This record gives sequence, C-alpha cells and structure tokens, in this order.
Amino acid sequence: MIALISSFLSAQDKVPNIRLKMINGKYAKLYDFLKEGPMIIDFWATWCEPCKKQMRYLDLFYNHFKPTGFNVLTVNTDSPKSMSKVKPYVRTKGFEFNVAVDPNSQVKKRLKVQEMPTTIIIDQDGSILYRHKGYVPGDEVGILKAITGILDKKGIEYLPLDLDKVQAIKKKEKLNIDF
Amino acid sequence: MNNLLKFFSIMIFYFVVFLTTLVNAQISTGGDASLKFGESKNNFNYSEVLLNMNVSNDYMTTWFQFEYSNPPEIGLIKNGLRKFRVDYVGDNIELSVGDIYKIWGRGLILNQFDDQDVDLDNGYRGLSFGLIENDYSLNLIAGNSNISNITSDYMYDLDLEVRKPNYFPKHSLFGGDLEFFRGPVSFATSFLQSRENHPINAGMQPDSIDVIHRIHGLRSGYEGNSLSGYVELANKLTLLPTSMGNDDHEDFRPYNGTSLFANLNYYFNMSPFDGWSLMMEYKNYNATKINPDQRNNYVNNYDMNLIFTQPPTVIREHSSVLLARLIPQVNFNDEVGYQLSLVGPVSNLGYFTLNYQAASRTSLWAKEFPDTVNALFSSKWSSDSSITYLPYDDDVTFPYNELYVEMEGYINKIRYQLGLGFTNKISEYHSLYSSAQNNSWDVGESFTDLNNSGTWDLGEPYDDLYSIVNERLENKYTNAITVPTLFNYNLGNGLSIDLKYEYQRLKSGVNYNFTLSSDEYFEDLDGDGLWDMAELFTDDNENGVWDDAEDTWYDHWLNGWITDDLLPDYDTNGNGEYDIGEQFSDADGDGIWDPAEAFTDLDGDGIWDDGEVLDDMNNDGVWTPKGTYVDSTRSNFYAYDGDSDEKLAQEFQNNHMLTIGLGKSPNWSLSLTIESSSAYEYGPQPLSISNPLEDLLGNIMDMENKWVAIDLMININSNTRLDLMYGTLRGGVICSNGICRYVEPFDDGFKLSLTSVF
Repeated sequence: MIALISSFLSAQDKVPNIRLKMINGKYAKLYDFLKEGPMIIDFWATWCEPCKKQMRYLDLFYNHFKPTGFNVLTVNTDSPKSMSKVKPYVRTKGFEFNVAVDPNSQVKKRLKVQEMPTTIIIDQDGSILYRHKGYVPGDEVGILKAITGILDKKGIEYLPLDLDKVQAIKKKEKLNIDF
Repeated sequence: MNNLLKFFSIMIFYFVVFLTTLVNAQISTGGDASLKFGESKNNFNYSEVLLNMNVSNDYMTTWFQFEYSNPPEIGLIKNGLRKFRVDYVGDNIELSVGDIYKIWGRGLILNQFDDQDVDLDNGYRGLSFGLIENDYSLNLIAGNSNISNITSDYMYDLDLEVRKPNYFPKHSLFGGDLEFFRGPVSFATSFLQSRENHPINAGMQPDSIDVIHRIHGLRSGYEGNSLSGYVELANKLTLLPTSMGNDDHEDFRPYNGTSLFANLNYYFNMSPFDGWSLMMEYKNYNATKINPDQRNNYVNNYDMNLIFTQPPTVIREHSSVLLARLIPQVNFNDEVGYQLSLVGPVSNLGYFTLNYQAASRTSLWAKEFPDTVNALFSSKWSSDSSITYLPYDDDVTFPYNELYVEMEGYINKIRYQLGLGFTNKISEYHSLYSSAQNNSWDVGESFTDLNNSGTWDLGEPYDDLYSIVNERLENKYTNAITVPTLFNYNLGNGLSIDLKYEYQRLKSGVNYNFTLSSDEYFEDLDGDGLWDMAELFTDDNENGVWDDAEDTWYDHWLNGWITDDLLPDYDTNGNGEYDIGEQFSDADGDGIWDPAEAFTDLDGDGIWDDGEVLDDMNNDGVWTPKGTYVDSTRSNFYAYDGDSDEKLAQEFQNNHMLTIGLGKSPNWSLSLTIESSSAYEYGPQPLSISNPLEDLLGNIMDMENKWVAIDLMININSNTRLDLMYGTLRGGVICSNGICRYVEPFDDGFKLSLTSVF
C-alpha cells in the first residue's frame, strides 16, 4: 500500500503513447504530434452540441499557433453508426486540424475522458498541463490563456491573438462568399 | 475461479506498482473516478462508484477498473474488480492481455464497447496481438466473453423493473483481421468464430445448447480529394448441434446470410456549392430472416447475429430529445435502408443540412393457412425469397422514414439552430386469427355416407372442423412533426444564456385490419337467405334491450286472468280501456305506467324483432361477407373531459420541451427543464408525486402532465465536476449504439454525479 501511495504521489501524469487511427484510415502514434511542440487533444462527436461550438476555436488556435510548433489533434468518438458523417463535417466546416477516430471509445478511456468535450493540453514530453471538461461559451478564453501560458513559459514567440477581433474579421470574409 | 482471478489481478496490480517504485522516473500513474447516486419516490434508486486506475510508461499501460454498486442504475450489483488490462505498444507491435475491446472496419464483424447507458458490454477477456506496418496491419484475438442481457423472451429470473439482466450467453472467441494500405486505397479481410453456450427456454429448469458462429468479411476504402468511399461485406454461418436435446427446438433451421454496408461521400469543389458535401450510406443486413412475431427474440433464434456485430445504424443521431425518442430500434440481422445527407454553408447565414433516411426489414411476410379446412392449427409465416435493394413500405416490414432539415450558425453573439423533422414509422405488427365452425360441409371434412353415394349429401352427418378464419392485423404507427430550436447568447465575461425549445406534434396509435376468409355464419330464422339485424328502438330506460309496454288490467282481462264480473274494480270509469290511475304491473317500480319503447318496424309486422343469431367474427356488430376488410384506428392518446372526468380519445399529442440555462465559464452552469404533454398515453400511469419545485411552478402554470427538473453543474476544479439534478424526468426509450431500452420515469428525486480525474 505504501508503494502504491508513494508511486501515485511521485509519478507524473503523462499520456501514454497510444496508437491512433486517423480519419484517412492510416495509423499514427500520439507522440508523433508532439515532435515540434506542445499540443491540444480534444474529444468530440458529431451529435455533441457543445463540442461543435468549441471546434471553430480549436481550428483558430491550430492555424494561429502552427508556426510555433503547437499542434491540435481532435479525436472523434462517433460510433460506427454516425462515423460516415465525420469526414463531411470536417470538410464542410473547413477545419484544418488533425482528426483521429475512436469509434469504440478506447482512446477516450485511456486518456481518462469522462465527458465530452474534454480538452487536454500536453507538453512535448507527454505530461498533462491542462485539462478541461465540457464547454460553455467563454471557455475558449481559458484555453487560449493556457496555450499562451505554456508558450510563454517555454520562451516561444508568437503573435498575440484577440478572439473578438478574429471573429469580426472572419464574419467579414464570409460575407464575400458567393452563393 | 472468480476468486482466483481476482487474486491474480490484484497481484498483477501490486507487481506493477512495485515496478513503479523501482523505475519511478519513467512511470506515469493516474486514474479517474465517477460516482452516481439517485433516489426517487417511485423507487428508482441507485448507487454506483466506478474507479479506474492506470499505471503506464512509454510502452506499457496497466488499467484496473473497480466497481462498487448496490444497485447500479442498470445491471448487476458488483463490488470489487470489474475490468483489468495490460497493454504493450511497441513501434510496430501491440499486445494486450485482459479485458479487450476491438473494432474492425465499421463493425459488421466485430465492434466491442462497454456502454453503461444500456448496460451492454460485449468485450472479451483474453489476448490481442497487433502488427502494424506502413502498408499493412494484422490483428489476432482470442478469449472469452460473458454477455448479459435483459429479455422477457427468456422465461427465467425476469426483473419486473427491467434493470437487472436475466440472460447470460457465453462466447469463446477467436479471429483475425488483415488490412492492406496502397495509397488512397485500403483493403481488408477478417474472420471471427464464436463457440456460444446459448441458454434456452426448456420448461421448469433452464438449459443451454452449444452453437458455433462463423463470420467472414471483406472491406475496402478509398480516400480521394473530392470523393471518399467505403464498402464492407460480412457473411455469417451458424452451426447447430446435431441433436438439440429438446423437441421444441429440433425443427430449427439456421439461416445463413450476408450483410452489406457502403458509404460514399462527395465534396463539392465548384461554385456556388464550394464547401458542400453529400453523404450517402447504404445498409443491407441480411444475416437472418425472422418473422414479425419473433423478430427480436434472440433466445429462440440461435442464428441471430452475434452480439459482437454492431454495424452502422444508417440513421441520424439527434441532439433533440423529442426527435431522438422516435429513432427506431435497428435490427442488425434483418434491415435494408439508406441515408442521404447534404450539408453546406449558405452565404454568411450559417450551415444548412438536409437529411433523409429510410429503412425496413428485408423481406415481405404473410401469414398463410395451408390447411383451409382445419385452419386453426395450420397457420404459418412465409416470406418471399427475393433479395431487396431498397426499403419496402409495407407495414409488415416495419417501414421507417425521416426527413430532417436544419439551419445553424451565428448571428453576432447568438448561436442558433433551427430544425424541422418529419418522421413516419411502423414499430409493431401483429397477426392474430380465429377460427370457427361454419355449419356447412367442406371438402376434406369426414362424413357418414348414409346412402353410400361416395359423396356428401344434404342431411348426412359430418365433422364440422374449425375453418372460418378471421385474420386480424394490427400495426402500431407513429407520425410526427418535430421542431427543435436552440439559441445561445454570449453575454461576455464568461456568462452565457441557453434557450432550447422543442415542439412535437405526435400522432400514434394502432391500425386494425380484418380479413374474413368465409362469410360470417348466422341463423336464418325467416329463411330469406339474409341476415336480419335487430329493429332499431329508442332505449328510454337505457337497459340495452327493447321493452314492451308495462302490463295493465286490460292485458290481464284479455288473457282471461280478470273475469268480466270483476271489471268494475279495474276499469273505474267504465270506458273499456286502461286510463292513467287504473291498475298496472309496475315492472320498474317507478310508480308510473311506461308505454312500449318506440321502434322502427322494418318488416311491418307490428312487433319488435331481434336480430338473427350471428357469429360475429370481427366484432363489428353486423354480418360481414367473406373477403370484406374493415379498417379502424385507435389513437394511443387521451385526455380527461373537464366536466365529466371521462377519458376522451385524442388524435394528437402535442409535446413541448423547454430548457433555460445560465452558464459561467469555466465554473458552473444551471438549467431548468420543463416538459409538457397535451395528452396521456394508454397504459399504466406512473404515480404522480408533486415536489416543491412543481408546487412553486404550480403558482404560475398548470402542472398537469408536466415534468420539471433543475440541473446544476459545478466544475470544482479542472479535474473534478459535480452534477446535481432534482425533479421529475419523463421515462421513455433511450437508444445508444443501435440498442434501445426503456427507462423508467424518475419521479420526484435527485441524482448526483461526481467525476474526477487524478
């Protein structure tokens, strides 16, 4: 029992280097996404409304912080019954982040994810730096703070990101779409 | 055996922990816990703790799950180790020992998961070996699986609350999956065998038989820029023992069929549809053919698809509660259908979705009566043997379709979602029949040949067998229009408001169809060859029969019961007829002489005539000739009349669901949900207990047929979340992974859920 307690107290909370099946059918390992910097791993499903609300911010973070080596991996947990919708959803929304599929929730369980969405920020060595369950509007501010905090700590330079401004610009761009 | 397993599991755990202390720097430990507690006044009580513990390094992960429940929300009581697994993940090799969950392709052969919402755990305890290279992957599995189910088709240990499993088939599994990758194309082949110990109904004592299932499969995928596709095929073979050991099951012949799933996605790249996508899914699951009466009975049908086969449902999952309630239970053994979904951006307004789906069983079934003379004992179901590619719309095939359109997007700080769904389905189909003697000799009936003519002649005695067949078809239908809406407004500073409103106009009931194979028999008293109905009359005293006038002294005098010399005592005014105030027989004791009830004298004979005796096979009250169909419909809904408190049938049920929520990122959110229904549903009504929340709302609205619940979620810290619910929840069917179960209503109680990661 002493061994148990001492090990739990002294060991770091790291994610295991699990194997992932990517949306294109190929396999990858979790640590492949940590080669150039820290990353966000986010769990979502096409039927999960709060997940979908959060995803546009994740895509924004991915595109904005990509030059710093920061990565975003989303893990879709749709079961086979709705898996066919995942690719069209990602393509239609124009999301550019990495997408893995976890149709029988085994990756989700290994990363101790109980609710969706769950957002985890992982350092390059696999240690968990930030974890957040659920999404209500405003949570994206907390995630952004966590990202910039990690980059600041590592001394990595990045362009500042103003969420309100970006949304206004995006809206303007959309107005130009021909239909 | 179980104790031994527990002992070894705990020893492995401590061994891993011991290693942890030795090589602490490389080891990561952690876990998560969830606690669920519920207590309601309708005795839906549960207490459940799940504890997951992980120890891992770069290559190895050890997982233990403990459960302490008494009772769980659904399932068996468990206290102690529930699951364990050790995984090794090398550069190209994966090895797992313990409780394993695998999925191959889209699950036409193997799709394992542990879904506690419907208490389905179809994983196995054993070994898994994986080899993953750049251009191929191999997975081999072997182990045992104990499945638990709740089914009323198994006659033993049935739990009336439908929360505790009573059916436990055991499977011994082995199989392999080999997948190749070549550029945008992948190709795979799989094989799975299960030796199943299948419990059967066998009189007073339960029994079981050993069944072998084999499934072979092929699948292929393509990933292109504007097109992606997937196809999977699985062929199932069931082998039964040469002797079933039970006469009731000897005649069973397994059906061995093939299941197909295909998916095609097209991504538009040209203006004005740039960014749009079209998703098409097709299913043709033809693993068994089971008649409408036996469709969901996997106890008596040994060839039904394995529980490990959980293919795509090809039905849209809805986040709308009212729409989700209408999703049918998918039959993975016998279903054909498709789904089309068109999604794309509409200028800066948001995203538009158009979704259409249709499904039915793969065969048309009809009840046949091969022995037209002795029909009572000869009915049987028969199906067409042809292969169908598109869903049927015949009621016997449980047709289902749904059209759903949705628009969602942002308007400044408001996120909106507006939907509209049209649903039609037949969810039950029953064929009932009855027979009777037709009082005439039919070919095939034995007779006494009095004149030795060799044929039956009028007047010769015969054995009148039960030969009139009244087939009664019943189908349960549902038609609905549903309008789900959702609005979310960001107030800033982390505060937001959610408003979710759903409306549904639901029509549901039973359609009845009657078919008579012979004319209804009647006693032709007047010999006119026609059935004579009773003459219509005015039932003044509402006793259901025609009443003649009460007898007076005049009737008694006509019958000779009063002699002429006594007449002056009765005919007081001497006018020779009965007058008010003179003597009469007061049959109903009201003190007033009652004249004969008025009637329509159809035959003009001056007396009321009752109907000729009729064998009313279809219970419509009148004689019906052969081949006549009488259709009727009964709605599932009723409401109470405000004055008389009587039940009045209602054609529609209008359902409303309103959720108002307030959230403060990242700390808490609070929501109030009110659901209301305009009509009751026939069947047992749960005892309604009002709670303080309903009493409070009762001051501002009528609380009849309403369900109110309040939910508070608190993020105690980034790793711990507390969810508290108080109120009343409407029961109903919940579906997950294509499996549905009925959830009892939760009346005036609270639920607590605590989840924590450490």
